[in-house]
Amino acid sequence: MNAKYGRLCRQVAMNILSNSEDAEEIVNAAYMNVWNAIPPARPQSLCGYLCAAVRNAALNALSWSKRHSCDELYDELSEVIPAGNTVEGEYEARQITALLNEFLLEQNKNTRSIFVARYYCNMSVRQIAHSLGMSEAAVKTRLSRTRSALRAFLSERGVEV
Amino acid sequence: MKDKDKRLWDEVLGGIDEKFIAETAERLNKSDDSYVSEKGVELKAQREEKRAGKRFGAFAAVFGTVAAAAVVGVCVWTGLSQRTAITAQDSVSTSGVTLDKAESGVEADLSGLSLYDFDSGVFEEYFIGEWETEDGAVMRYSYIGESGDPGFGGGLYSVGAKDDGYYLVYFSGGSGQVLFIPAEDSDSLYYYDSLGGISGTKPADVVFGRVSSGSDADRVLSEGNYLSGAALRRLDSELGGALFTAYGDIAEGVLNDNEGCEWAVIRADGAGYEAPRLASLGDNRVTLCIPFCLVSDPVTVRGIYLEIIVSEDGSWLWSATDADGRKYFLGNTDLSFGEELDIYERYFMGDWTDENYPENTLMLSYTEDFFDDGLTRRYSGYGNYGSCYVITVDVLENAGGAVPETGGNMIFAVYTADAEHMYCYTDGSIDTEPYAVYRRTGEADMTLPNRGKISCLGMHKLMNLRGGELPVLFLSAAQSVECGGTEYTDGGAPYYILSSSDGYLTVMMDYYGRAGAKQSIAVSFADREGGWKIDNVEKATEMTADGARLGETDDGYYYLTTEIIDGAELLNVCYYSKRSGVMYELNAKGNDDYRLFAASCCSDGDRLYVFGFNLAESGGAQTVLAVYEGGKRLTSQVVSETVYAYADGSVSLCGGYILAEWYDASWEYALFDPSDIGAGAVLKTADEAELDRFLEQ
Repeated sequence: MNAKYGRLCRQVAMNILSNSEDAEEIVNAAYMNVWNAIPPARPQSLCGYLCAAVRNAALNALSWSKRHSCDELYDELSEVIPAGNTVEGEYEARQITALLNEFLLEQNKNTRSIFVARYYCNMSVRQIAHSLGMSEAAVKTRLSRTRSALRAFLSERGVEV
Repeated sequence: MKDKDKRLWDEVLGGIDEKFIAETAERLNKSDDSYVSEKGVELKAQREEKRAGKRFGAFAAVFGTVAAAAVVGVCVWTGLSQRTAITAQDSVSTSGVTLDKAESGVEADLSGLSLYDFDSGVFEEYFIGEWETEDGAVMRYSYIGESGDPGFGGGLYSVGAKDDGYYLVYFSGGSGQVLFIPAEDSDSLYYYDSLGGISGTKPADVVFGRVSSGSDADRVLSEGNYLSGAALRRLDSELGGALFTAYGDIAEGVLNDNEGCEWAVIRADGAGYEAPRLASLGDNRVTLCIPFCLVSDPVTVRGIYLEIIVSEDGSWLWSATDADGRKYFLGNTDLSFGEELDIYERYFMGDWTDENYPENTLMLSYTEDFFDDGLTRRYSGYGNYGSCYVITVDVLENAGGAVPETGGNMIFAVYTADAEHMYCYTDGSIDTEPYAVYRRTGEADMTLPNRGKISCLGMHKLMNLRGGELPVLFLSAAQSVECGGTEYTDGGAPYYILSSSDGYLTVMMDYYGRAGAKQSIAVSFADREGGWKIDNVEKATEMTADGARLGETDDGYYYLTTEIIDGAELLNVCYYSKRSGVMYELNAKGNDDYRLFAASCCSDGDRLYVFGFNLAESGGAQTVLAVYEGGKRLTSQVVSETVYAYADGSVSLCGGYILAEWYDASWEYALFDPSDIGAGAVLKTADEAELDRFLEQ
């Protein structure tokens, strides 16, 4: 498992924790959790399951005030739904999540992967570019377009921006 | 961002559908080392298998890339002396790798050795040549590529020197290999395989001895030669990273776009990368011929010429030309700069009316695009289908009945046998039922504007006429510019030419900021010594609504009007002073906080006079005349407490006065002394004869 997925898992953890020792620890803990959970809870994609497990574990390891590695991502996303708007009152997070998944479903595979890699896996533009065989400029452009489209998508469905 | 917003996004992102996460994770996990498309990644295993079988099955002569060395390492794993050991202390991405050659008593530390640098001096002096193991496996390093060379494929490849020796580091497929030549023994090469994610120590997998140091030809980048992976890295290093970036852009953004592009990066039969060939190498430019295949014909290899031009300041541009002479550029305005414009002029330009829906019309010229401003984002290409010519237009959004609700790619076709009709197809083929049939209802205006609004194809034509490096520079600037410390991307229509002369061009176009909002930015290009360069980039206006219009005052000053939702116009956003060459933002800090919805403006060369409607502090609105100089509002004078139909108002210079006129049941006039606007109108009348008499005095 480590040989096959270790690099990605460590990258996800490292991007959140910014500390290689902590990242290693989180990845090992995630392996253990997955080992204990399979079977019977065999995931459709072990890779995706591991990735999610590592991300959640890494985020849980940090208090809100220490999630500096996520600030840049949240800042980018704040332009999709700026801070201080009416989202909180009118749309619960789960409703936005449902809309986000609907939006992602409409996107092509590449666009979806770039978005998920950036905002779910906390990957840098450079890492995404290398991983998906794109230039950094192309990744930036695609992310910018996707945010713009998401903003319009949410707006059309009543999430005021 | 506040914690509550972070929590919101964290919860939202945490709820992303697991199938999307799985899909992404699988891609990231399997393609970490690849510059190629998903298809390319899938084919990589086949490719390497073939190469292994072909080259190493019998330990025949092996040419050199590190990827090849990796295979050698696997093949000759057993029976090797374990003279050295290696420790990987961290993940591959951090390169915190330590060599511990315990038995030889020498320790080598790889931490700090970049995975991205390529020291050509080290490579040429120490690695080039032929190497052989005790078992007779051979590998060779050279700048000359051979058929089957991974070329642009493969992973990170770096070469460098440390105190204890020389390193060639290669990461591919999530696994790293290191080749080490000790400083004290440059005829031995130690090879360490499978470093990714390893902790603990590991013996060297194979040791090579030097057979030869290669020839001079192995160390030269010669025109006509095929290029090895090392040669590409050297070129990339010398070009400041341009080569692999441009290749990635071509593979991803232009030729291998999964949104309908016809090019594939590698052969679908898994035959592997073909080594690119060096077509030409100059002081500031390099051209490679890179093999690609058509998706529709994945076996026949065709050449794409990739040209990179490097400027004195280190910036670079690229263009790609296919075997048919079609040229591709970076960015979303990748128009073909070729003879196809003749086809556009001959068959497409003119006024067209939808035969079934006469309200849908198209005016195709060098000022008008297929659809409304800003909707035509890309002309994907031209085609000659024998019986007809087609233009493919990528439309981003619905443009009324002229475009299907979904937007997308639309093909317009004019058949040579009937040039009076144009057919629109939306299903990606002209063999389908047309979405619309247009009838020619007006002759084409072939005028190419020198100033003001210009269509996408008009810009294309202009670039053709200017030629040289300007077209590439323009399209590179259209991809992204930095303005005021912010990066703006995806520049495109509507285009406005603000200034145009032999060696200078200022174009205003729409970009997208980080928040996805449109932003008009004026980019100036200057032809100075050494060629065309970007001379200036400045923000033009905040695009608050859908449309924009550029007007011209009598003396050649330009102003931008932005239509807002209620139909009024927001004018005092900016204007471009040809005299000073400066784009003034009239709504910048220091000006009135209230928006001026202007009906008209004029300029005496120094000052801009704007007649329109100002929102009053009380919340109401007034008709005002405002005066600007150097982008700053000097003063404004209330002409009336009433707001009139904005479309019927205007301001002009008349007999030494500023004349404001507006329609309120009848025409009314007000004259102001330009030197003392604040004193109010010197004449206010609804009697045109009285106005004439006053002006005659």
